[in-house]
Amino acid sequence: MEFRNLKPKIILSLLVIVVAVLFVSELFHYSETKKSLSIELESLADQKITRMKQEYVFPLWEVDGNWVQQDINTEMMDKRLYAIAVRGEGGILVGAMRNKQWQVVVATEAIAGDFITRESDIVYKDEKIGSIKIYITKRFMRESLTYQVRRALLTTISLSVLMLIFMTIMFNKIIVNPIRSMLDTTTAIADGDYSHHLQIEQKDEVGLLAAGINRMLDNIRLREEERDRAESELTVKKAALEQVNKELYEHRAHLEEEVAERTDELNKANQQLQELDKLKSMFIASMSHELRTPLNSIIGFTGITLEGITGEINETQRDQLQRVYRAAKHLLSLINDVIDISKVEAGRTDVFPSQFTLQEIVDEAVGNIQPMAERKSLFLHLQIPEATVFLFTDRQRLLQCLINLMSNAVKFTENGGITITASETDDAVKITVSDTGIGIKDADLPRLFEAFERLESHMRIKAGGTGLGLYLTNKICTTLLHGSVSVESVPDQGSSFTLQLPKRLEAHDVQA
Amino acid sequence: MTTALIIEDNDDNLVLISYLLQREGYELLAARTGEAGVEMALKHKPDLVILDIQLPGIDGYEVLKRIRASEDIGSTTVIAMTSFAMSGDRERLLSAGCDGYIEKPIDPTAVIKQIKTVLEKAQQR
Repeated sequence: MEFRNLKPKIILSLLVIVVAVLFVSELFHYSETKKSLSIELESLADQKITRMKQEYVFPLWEVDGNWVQQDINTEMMDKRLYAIAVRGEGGILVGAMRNKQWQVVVATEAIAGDFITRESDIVYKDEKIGSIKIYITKRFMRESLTYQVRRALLTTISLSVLMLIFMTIMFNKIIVNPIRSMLDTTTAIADGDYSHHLQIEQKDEVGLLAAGINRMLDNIRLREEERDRAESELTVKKAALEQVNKELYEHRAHLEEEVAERTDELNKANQQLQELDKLKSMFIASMSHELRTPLNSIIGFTGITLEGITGEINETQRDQLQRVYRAAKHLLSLINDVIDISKVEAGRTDVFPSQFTLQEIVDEAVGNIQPMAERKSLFLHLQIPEATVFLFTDRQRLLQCLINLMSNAVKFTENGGITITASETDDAVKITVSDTGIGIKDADLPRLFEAFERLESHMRIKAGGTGLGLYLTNKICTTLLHGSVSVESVPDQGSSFTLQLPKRLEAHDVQA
Repeated sequence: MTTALIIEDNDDNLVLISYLLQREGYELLAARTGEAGVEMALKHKPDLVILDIQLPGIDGYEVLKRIRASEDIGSTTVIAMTSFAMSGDRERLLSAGCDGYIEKPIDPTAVIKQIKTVLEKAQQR
């Protein structure tokens, strides 16, 4: 048999046990009762026979049959006695027995059946004078037993029913109801409902279990709350993030637009700049021509007049014409320098590398400044490698730089002279122009290569020059020839400028 | 007698160079524009052309190109004269077919020597 519920299962088991125990106990009780009843009957039989065998001695001796009969009748009032038979040697035969209706009758027939019997001789002075036999029925013992069995059955059944009711109530109260509610709760938990709380106040295992479930529920609820809180926080943060994302996206879109706009603006500005640059270049080119053309006339005609080609001139005229001539030359070099710088800065200078030797370029530069040095009585020393050093770079530009440095040296030196040193490495040359001139203060060195930086000195007016020479030299040397210019100087002892540049100007170094 | 054609739009320069060449005994022709210069060169076939580069109308490069393209006067000695005075001008002009190059402003004593050197070199060819 299969039970879907716990209660009948347990109750039935208990009931079986109870019934079995009760049954066994009743069985024991029954057999005990039966035994005690048997003993009682046996002892009754013993008691009766003992008394009768003594009491009947004299009546039998005196052959008083009536007395015996009366006594037997008295005895027979005990319904447990079925029959009594007394036989006297003197010929007395007295007895009684019961008929079907359990009435006492004179014993007439032989007695048969299941009886407890006792037989005894009746003795007087060691002489048998009669005998007695009594029959005790077990009938009433059986009745009593049947009654007892019935009573026991009744007790068993009523006890069982009572127990059943009690156990059901107790079970319901202690186990089934708590388990039911726990079941409901755990089912609810399984379904995700954590709002239950078990109201079970028992201190037993069920109570502990319920308390455990409650604790578990509390923990789950706590975690649920934490999770809910975390989730809601997460939701809030997610929303915020989405907002930020959206803003970012919009911002980016906006930014892209802005970038596109700016790029557009920049492109326009760039275009304008390029146009401006072109204009500037055109302006410089036309300046170059327009400014120099009148200068050509001034220099040319002053020149031929000074040479005396057109006729003799007096000393005053010569002096004044020379001033015109020098001023015009100065103006020309100034214009040339400005144009050169503009072109180099605009990256519009073409570089034309060609092959030549270090010796020839130094000679040419020296030849250029030699008259000036001779006029100031300055020595000119050359320390150049004897072996021919081939260079492949822009000859014109290098020459320009060398003349610039050398004429500076001559300009700023009154006593002593100029020394030109050159040396080579595998792929570079180093040309140093040293003088014994006024030198440069340390504080002035950083400004040396800047445009229009002519250092304050008593030589300034006397020396002339555009103030653009070193700036231009540095620009040409670094930008066009991919070299460098460095300077060392001790005030009042002299300066030494060093050009360092690669022997070969590679094709990719040359600007288009 | 060496005939020199001076193509120059600037009066002062024209006067100066003419003066210097006249003193050396050159027979002179002058033109103030490129077109006129080419026309005169074709007509008179001078021994020497002194050519300014910046000219109104066609410039010196174009004049040089037209002279070199002509069968008659293709081998005439041409000396460019310009105030560009920048690195590259010389190379550009020489590679365009000039025999010589004079930088403005003219050095009165040097210019005749320069012209003579170029002419001698050209005759040796």
